[in-house]
Amino acid sequence: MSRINVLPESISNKIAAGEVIERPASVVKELVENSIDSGATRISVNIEQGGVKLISVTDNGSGMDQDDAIMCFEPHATSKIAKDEDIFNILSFGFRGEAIPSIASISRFTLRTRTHDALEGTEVYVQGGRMIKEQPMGCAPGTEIIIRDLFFNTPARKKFLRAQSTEEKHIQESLMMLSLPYPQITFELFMDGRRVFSSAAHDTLTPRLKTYFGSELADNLLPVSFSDSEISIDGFIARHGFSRNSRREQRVFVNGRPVEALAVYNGIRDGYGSLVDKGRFPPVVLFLRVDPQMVDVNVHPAKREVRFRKSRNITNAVCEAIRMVLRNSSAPTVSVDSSLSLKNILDGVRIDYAPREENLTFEFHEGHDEPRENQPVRPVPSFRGFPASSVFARQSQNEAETIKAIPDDTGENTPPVHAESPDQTPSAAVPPPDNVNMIEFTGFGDLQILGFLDRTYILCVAANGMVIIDQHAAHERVMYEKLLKAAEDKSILSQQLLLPVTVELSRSEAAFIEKRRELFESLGFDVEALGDTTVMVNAIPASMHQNNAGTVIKDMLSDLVEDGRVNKDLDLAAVARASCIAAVKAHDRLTFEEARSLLRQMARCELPYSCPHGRPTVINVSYKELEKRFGRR
Amino acid sequence: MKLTVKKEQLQKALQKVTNIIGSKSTLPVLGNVLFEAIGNKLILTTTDLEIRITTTIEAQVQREGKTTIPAKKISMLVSKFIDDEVFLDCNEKHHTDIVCGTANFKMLGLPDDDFPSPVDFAPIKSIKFKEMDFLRILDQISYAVSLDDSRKVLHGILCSIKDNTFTAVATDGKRLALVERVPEEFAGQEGDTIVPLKSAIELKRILEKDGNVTLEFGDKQARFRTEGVEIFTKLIEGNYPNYRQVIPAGFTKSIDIPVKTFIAKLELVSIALTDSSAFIKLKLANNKMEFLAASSNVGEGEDHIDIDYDDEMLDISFNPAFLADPFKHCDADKMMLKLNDSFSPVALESGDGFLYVIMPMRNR
Repeated sequence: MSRINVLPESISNKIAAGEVIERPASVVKELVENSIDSGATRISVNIEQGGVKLISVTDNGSGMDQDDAIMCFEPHATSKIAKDEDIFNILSFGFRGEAIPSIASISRFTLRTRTHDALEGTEVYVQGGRMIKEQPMGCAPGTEIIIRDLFFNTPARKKFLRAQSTEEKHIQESLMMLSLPYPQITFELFMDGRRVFSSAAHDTLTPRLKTYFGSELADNLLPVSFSDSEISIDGFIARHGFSRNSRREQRVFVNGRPVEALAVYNGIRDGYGSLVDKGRFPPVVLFLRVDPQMVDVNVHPAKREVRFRKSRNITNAVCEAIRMVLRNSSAPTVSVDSSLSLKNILDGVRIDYAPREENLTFEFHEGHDEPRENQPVRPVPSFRGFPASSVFARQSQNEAETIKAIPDDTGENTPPVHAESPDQTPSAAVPPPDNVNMIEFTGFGDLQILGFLDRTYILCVAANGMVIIDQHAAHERVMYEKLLKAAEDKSILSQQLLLPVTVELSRSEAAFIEKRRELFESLGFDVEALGDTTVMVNAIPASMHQNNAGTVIKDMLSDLVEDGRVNKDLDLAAVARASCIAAVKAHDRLTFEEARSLLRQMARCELPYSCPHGRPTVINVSYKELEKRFGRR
Repeated sequence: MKLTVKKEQLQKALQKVTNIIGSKSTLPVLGNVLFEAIGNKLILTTTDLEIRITTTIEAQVQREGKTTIPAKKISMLVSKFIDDEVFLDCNEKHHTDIVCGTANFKMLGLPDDDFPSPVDFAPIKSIKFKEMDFLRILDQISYAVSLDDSRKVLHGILCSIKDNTFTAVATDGKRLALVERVPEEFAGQEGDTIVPLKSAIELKRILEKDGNVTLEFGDKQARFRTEGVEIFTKLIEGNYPNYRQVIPAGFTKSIDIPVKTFIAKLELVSIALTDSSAFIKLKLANNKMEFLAASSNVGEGEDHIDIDYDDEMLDISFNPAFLADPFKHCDADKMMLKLNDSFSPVALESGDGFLYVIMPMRNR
């Protein structure tokens, strides 16, 4: 007797359902996709008990006539593919014809639909895949699908559902994702009779982003628009400085379909480059349009993952699109909670960028009271970290710096902000009336320096507010770009050492240097291994003023080491970054001239708004915020 | 303590001792000057625990005694007095009445018992120089001391005596300055000591035109004495790098350089440079030394001087500040530039015992 049987339809549908319908959110996704495909302009979703009791999706789309209404429960019945080639030209969501029969096989399914020109609609009721009744019925044009008791006949699956709140979160996220590419469609979501959101149709996506993500993030999203012969990219990316600890908020759509695509993620990573710390993910919403031929959406049953035929090109395009935007963007604007002290604000900003923190948002209510671990190293008193604008300004620095006269008697009581008056008139400082949320300052060159705070921050006046620059981070950025550029041009100069320095390192660190010597060389270091754990430094980059080359090398390596090991595949940028951070450890009070020179150099930077590790170099406090703090408005 | 001193003398004495007083000392008494009236002398002392400076002036002492007075206030006060004589009277609470002409002050001091007492000092060698000569030595090299105090031994000046020759060396690892002189007098053991830059700078401040300075070195301390002033300092412990090793044994080329013209051209051409990572290139050929400088933001410049050189053409790059330093701090008219090639150490000599070695920059 033969043992191989063709499965009865009811079972095969259940198996398909197992793949497609993981949880109530999948149902919402499948149904809403159908609604979008039907040309609806208004889609309303209603959920009860996390979708287990009820999911209903109502749209005003094309609707179905009586025959289709019955046909759609047949497996692989679809209106979207008619012939073989169509499968490579998929622009609609659904196409396999699996969704409705699958859902119907595991729920009590009611379909009410009417085409716009029909006089009466149809109601179909299916339970566990069996059609119970079908009858004409009066209803609004469009389609309404009501699903009750999902998983009533697959108790195992039902058991694996998470808490109602978790399922609700999934549904909400899923609907948000679906709605992002379609600002022209109104979406509504109700849960247990309560309205979760209602996002009216609009020409642009901006109001929807505000509704979903709040204005804090939405205001700091920068529009992206890019296209070349193969791909067009639109959407929004977070101003640098906003990052999350997971990729969840990197929402990527290919031809309108929310997907996970490694090629795009890589492009995002490369595009932000050094602006974002490793392990941090800036939120983005990106819509890619590519020739359907170039993308395979038929990889995953839930169509979540896609593959590109030329993934390298996709990565490059995304990277370029993001870079273009970031290059022209200004620094993040800080919203100041008027009940906080300025120090907390500065620290708050700092911690917001620290890795490890969970659920970071660009707000200050968390964490700012914690002690700082990463206080910048206090400067060696007579070291001048910043190059003066003229080489000869440094002459006899030894003495000039060391023979500092006794601070005058007011020294002890001097507030940290120096009172030296700037030599420019503050005419640019008049605030425009009712300035907008965002401060945009045109360039670092136009900033008027007020003074210095705690030998760490440069305070400046911009056209509509105060700008605070972290001199340490700024210097790192300046040096980093210089080094990389010089390395690219092969114009790196190194100062050879009269007294070479030997450095003791761990075995893996020494091995790394030995193996990747060319990286160090292209940055201007000349290091040679003397043994398993000893290296000798013969030359350092000319731009480094450190006299102790050994410390620089050590600090660099400690920056490169991860989990006690050095990744052998580190690139030039990583090593350059480490070297800048090592080189700028010591810094000291700047003169106005030095600060101005730094700002001029910042102005020439490609990405001046953050240090190579992704911390911001600049924050803005607008007059509006100051007025808020002083209770003027 | 009760005494009268000349305002002029007191002001000068205070200037000599108060430089080392920092604004943020944890010990309040370190912000004060110790006043000691003994016999017909007033002795002023300050310390930051590393360095201790003492100066002695004449005074009409009516009652011997000691007290401490806040350094900054007394300095300001004395510098603003317009009459010739200052009268000081200290009571047992260390409140000092300070009277000058019609001005009348009372200053609250701290007990002299709190002031750190000097440590025992046993010199093992003693070197004597004319003050002027020693000032020259310090001038010629102290700019080359490393400012980075993470490599402690380089954050000072090496003072070495051997075969009746005194050698002072300063280096930051990229260039090195050295002076050799025969002292006026020498007694004791030969050997090396490292004087902290800060102490050397204090010493420079007190050296004058006439007179002699005596340098006494112990194991861990040193004492520098001039007429009326004594500096007592800790020494830097550790081994100074073997600087002789880095001075090339011989050079294949040597060129006479006119100091004034060289520095003028160097400064001129450097105007084309912007930041300190910039370099200046010297091109030697056909009896000419060309100066070339270029930067991406400003532009470029060049100039030349005539020299005596008909060897092969040679390009060599330097940090302009490193190149300028020895020329600025020498008072000779000419220096001898000695070199081998574009990447080995280059030497400058002024003929009076001064030697400067600098590492060229290298383009990779």
